[in-house]
Amino acid sequence: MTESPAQPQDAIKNLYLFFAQLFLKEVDAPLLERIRSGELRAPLEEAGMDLKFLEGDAQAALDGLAVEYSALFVQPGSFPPFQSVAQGGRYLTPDADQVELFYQKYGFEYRKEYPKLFPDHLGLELWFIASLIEAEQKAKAANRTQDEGVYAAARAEFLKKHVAAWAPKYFETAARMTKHPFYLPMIEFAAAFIDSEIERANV
Amino acid sequence: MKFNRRNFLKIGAAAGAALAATGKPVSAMELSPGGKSVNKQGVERKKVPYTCMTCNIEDGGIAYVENDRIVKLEGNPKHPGNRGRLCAKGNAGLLHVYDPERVLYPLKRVGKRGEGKWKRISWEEGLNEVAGKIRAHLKSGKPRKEIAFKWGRNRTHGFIDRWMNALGSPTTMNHTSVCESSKKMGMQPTWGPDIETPDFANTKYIINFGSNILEAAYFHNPYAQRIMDGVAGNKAKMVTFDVRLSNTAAKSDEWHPVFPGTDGVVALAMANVIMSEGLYDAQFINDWVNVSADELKAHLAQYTPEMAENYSGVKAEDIVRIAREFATAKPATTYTYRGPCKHLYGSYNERSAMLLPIITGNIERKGGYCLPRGMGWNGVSPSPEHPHEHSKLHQPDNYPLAGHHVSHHIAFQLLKGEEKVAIWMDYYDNPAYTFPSSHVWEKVYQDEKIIPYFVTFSPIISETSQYADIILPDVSYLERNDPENMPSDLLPWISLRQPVIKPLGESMEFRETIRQLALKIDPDGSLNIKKYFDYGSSENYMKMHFDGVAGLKELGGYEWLKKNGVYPDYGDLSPADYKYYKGGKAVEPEYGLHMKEDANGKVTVGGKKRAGFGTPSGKIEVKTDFYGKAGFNPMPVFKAHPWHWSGGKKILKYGQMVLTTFKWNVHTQARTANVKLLTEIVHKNPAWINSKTAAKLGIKDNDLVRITSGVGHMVTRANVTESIHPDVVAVSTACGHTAGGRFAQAMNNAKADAWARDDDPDLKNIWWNDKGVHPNAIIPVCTDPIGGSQGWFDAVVTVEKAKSGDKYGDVVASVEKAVAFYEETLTYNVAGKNHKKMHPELANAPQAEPVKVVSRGDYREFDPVQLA
Amino acid sequence: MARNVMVVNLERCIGCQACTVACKTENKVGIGRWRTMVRVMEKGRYPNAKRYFFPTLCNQCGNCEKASKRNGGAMFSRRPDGIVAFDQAKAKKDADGVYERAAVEACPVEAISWDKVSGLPDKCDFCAHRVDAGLMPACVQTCIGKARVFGDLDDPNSEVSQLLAKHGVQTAKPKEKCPGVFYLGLDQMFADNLEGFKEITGADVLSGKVKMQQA
Ligand code: SF4
Ligand code: SF4
Ligand code: SF4
Repeated sequence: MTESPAQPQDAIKNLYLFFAQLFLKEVDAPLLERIRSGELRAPLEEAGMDLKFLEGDAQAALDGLAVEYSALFVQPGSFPPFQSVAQGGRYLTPDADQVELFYQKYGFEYRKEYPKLFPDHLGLELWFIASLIEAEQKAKAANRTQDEGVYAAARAEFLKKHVAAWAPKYFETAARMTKHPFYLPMIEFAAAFIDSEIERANV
Repeated sequence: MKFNRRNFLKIGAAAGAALAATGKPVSAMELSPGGKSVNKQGVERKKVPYTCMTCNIEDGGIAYVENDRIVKLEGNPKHPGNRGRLCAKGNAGLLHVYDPERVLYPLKRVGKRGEGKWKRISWEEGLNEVAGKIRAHLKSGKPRKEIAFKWGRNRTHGFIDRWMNALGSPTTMNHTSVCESSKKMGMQPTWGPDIETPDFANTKYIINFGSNILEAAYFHNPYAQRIMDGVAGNKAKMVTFDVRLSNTAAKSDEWHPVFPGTDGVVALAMANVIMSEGLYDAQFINDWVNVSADELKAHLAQYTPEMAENYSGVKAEDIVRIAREFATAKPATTYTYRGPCKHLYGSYNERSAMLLPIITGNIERKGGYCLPRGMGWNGVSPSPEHPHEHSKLHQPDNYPLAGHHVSHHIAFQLLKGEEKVAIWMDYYDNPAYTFPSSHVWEKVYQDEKIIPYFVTFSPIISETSQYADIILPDVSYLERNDPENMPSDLLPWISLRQPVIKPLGESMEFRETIRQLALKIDPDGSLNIKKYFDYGSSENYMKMHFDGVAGLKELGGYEWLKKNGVYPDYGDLSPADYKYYKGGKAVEPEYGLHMKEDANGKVTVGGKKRAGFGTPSGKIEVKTDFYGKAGFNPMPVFKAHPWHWSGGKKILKYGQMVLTTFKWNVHTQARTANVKLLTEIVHKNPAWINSKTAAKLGIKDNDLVRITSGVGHMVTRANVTESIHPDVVAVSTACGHTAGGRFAQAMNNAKADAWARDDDPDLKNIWWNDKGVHPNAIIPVCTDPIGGSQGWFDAVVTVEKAKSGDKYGDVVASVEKAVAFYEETLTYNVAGKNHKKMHPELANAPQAEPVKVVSRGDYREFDPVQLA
Repeated sequence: MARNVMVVNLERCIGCQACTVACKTENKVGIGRWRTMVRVMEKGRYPNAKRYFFPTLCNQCGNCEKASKRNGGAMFSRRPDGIVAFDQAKAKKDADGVYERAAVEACPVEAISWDKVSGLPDKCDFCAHRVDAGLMPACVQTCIGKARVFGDLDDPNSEVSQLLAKHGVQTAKPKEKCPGVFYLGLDQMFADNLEGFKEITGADVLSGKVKMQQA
């Protein structure tokens, strides 16, 4: 694969969005199709995932995924993927304000749509980074070099200040909680990806 | 799996379009770098008054809010009940809100019942499903009573009744029989209200029969303050009769350990002493009691101090001395909330204890035993009528006086198929943990034939809600609306519970959930349901309650209440004497309510008609027709428990004791267990065993012991102590959870792998690994045939050193054996074979007339005047 | 100059632990450590068993400050109003925490506990932030039994001065020269059981015989 400068940037952004979606919400029907028969299947299998268990009745597959999603991220006894919970043991600690302030500082807001979430949800933090990448790309396209640098710096700062502070440890714990053939590799995958991103931000 | 940059990029590239389905949760507002900076710091700390509900006392609080976050709870100094102070539970209340083990989204069961497999669903889906089921049932023509609603704590003040009445189902089930119903049924026929408000602060003498008021019960925080004002400030004497040295007993001048269930005979003997020695208030009895002093003397003569000593173990000379002290130390009061009534025939015990303040004329006096003061608000109209169908789950047969129902029988009635259920709704309730023979409830909840569809509004997954088919999560008490009042002081008040912050996540206030359900069930109004729920919002509902209240209306009604939390404003609280001052003068309560002139009064005293008491005669009915007509003794009497006594002889065998439970000052029955600051203080519940008894049985402190009842056994540790009656073993409630959360279940870091959570830094600091053992499964049903209360403190158990193979925490309980106890307890009801045996004195009494209980579905539903 | 002290009237303490929890929510004290706690002790044989409640907290004696300073630490300092304040930011960290450990060990009433999250000592400071804002300490504010009384000993009309003038008082440790916490009604039997309890009179405190040391 030849990496033109724009392509990896897009791919990284899309990966953030992909994980954001995975953590924000249960897998829905279109995503399931893309994973089990669409364009995601080949690269996921190439990375070593066995997706056969998702074949067959779509509703059953979706329910199975939803149950695991709930057990991991939603119901009592799960580990809700919020920075506040991971760092403070409860919902909505001042960490959540800090994250929201960060969003606002760069002109983003969390639209409180379904599912209603606190700002420091893992999925939102990842989505925010993707949004920063997109903003950076737009600035670049419009030749706003200074803005481009600000967004890039913001991304590195957010990664270091927030994501790095809790996500790696969160993934580690979450991975211990599940043996699920989809969520366990996905968590490991996300962990590896975020680790590499943090590393890149640190150089 | 192998991940590398190449994989990332490939999957990333493929993932490109995966996002359309989700909608954009983060969107660009403004794209100039630096944007605007919103400083959330420096925002002023907001004050929001609220009404506490970590327990059922409804104290006033002020929440301090920063950045929409509750940072501290304190008492509301304007609230005359708690006067600015919160108890330990109230102080820890904010932990309920931010608990990560709270349910924030509707959940639908996926696996088998109780398997713990859930999926998150949208409110739309959840509401549609539940509304669809209810609508289909209503349309099917099947009996409406198959729609069942069980609550454990209902502070909605009529809203659940509105819901169930609108649905046309009489199957509303409460929890009162595991609490104070027999106390209510002792009091209501006697003087009208179901509760008393003793003036502890101004009293000189308190006889406390089995109340642990300094730790729990109605009204812990307010009354503890007043008792300390009375005892420390006013130098009142306090004498406590209790099987255990509770903290209340510990703060008393005298603690008299009594054999369980015998405080009633102690009270009767004291009354006998007071009457026979002429220490009674002849004028008061003459004016205000429906039996004469001579009749009372004659009736009480059978209860000699020696007889009371035989049963209670309290020395006759102490009984005589305390009776004299009480009768002469005016003003004086008793308190019973709520030990004596929690036995077979607990209603008689309550009536017996009431005699003491009555015959000494301490009723409605400063420093005495006063009527509850109340204040109300307006009803919301239109209001649906109570359905005419009858449900035995709401009110079982043969408990004619159980005006607060017999909720702990319901699981057994369902097992026996007495009524059918189609849809079961569960609200603020955890019978699979808090009810006697709790394992029977578990069995019922698991059985989809008995409960085909189970909806819960619980915001936690508890021992009960874990069996639900769908969870529509309610909010915490700091995110909801309710009108409140309680007679926790002689100055009456009403208060508002209002959301201090917006509900977290997608949790929804129960009141709002029901409104939305109702509108979905009956969108066009054709089912006659919609009109009762067309009020717009919970706020509007509160407005309708409060806006028109006389006095409050002039101040600004609901809006004023929102700002102040409680009405009326009695003035400024003085830190010196904790009284309210207005214009330099202390605000004092009114006394002698019964003496108020009233043209409609039934009683004439001093040539004037008086307000009197809420009884058919307007007097205090020491002799009550309600009891008489229903086949019970109309006078206060003592019935020795046949499990404990035969012919006046104790029949406990070697190793046998009476099992008693108790509450701690830092816990409620079930909901506080996951509040770490409270569970840190009390998390285990070893069995209290008297040191002499323990020595006899070869049990040492901290030994593993097996406690066996007729239902099953539990294995716990012994707390060998001097602080308990030798015939009693005490195991507290609030511990030994099998659901409810990490702190409730002592899931500390060592167990993190099983629990797989290590988020809360405090999890590393859980310094205990003992979560206690819950006793309720092995406690048999034992029902007061009068008031319908569970006799929590009656079970006979055998205590022994643990057997080989016994593990700490074992609880083994048989459903069959629990059912056998249920069948046995039915034999004590008016139609049962033991009723006559227990009432030989009524052999010649006229045949009991059938009495119909008037049920209005409200928690204060027994109205003796209406019964008449 | 104000001299802030707390008087704990044991006759009024019901062991309800409202203070314990209020202190924790006010000062964000995690579990496993305490700025104040109410100790519960039992004594006597059935049926004459007795139970005692004994709220304990930092006595503001200043021993920690001295010990910490001797060892080169700087996080404790006595304020002019008598409160022994501390500043975790000024804690001198070293590998084994020797500086502040000395302070912990110097406390005669074991009132300093380690904050496991910050890795630093923590103790009652009479809720200095509240006192500075004109508020009662959190534990006093919520005290159900009205057992805890707080105020200025230099003001003869304050409730604490009145109480100390009227009653015999005791401190948790007799040798401390500058106590900020006094007990009323510490039962003599009970005192005997707790090594070191001794009665001093309120008059001693008020007359200045027991003096507060200024740092
Ligand atoms: S006693 Fe405690 S929990 Fe109950 S209402 Fe009062 S403060 Fe709240
Ligand atoms: S004064 Fe403040 S810091 Fe000290 S024990 Fe009381 S609440 Fe805690
Ligand atoms: S709040 Fe007051 S009465 Fe309750 S334990 Fe603390 S000091 Fe004692």
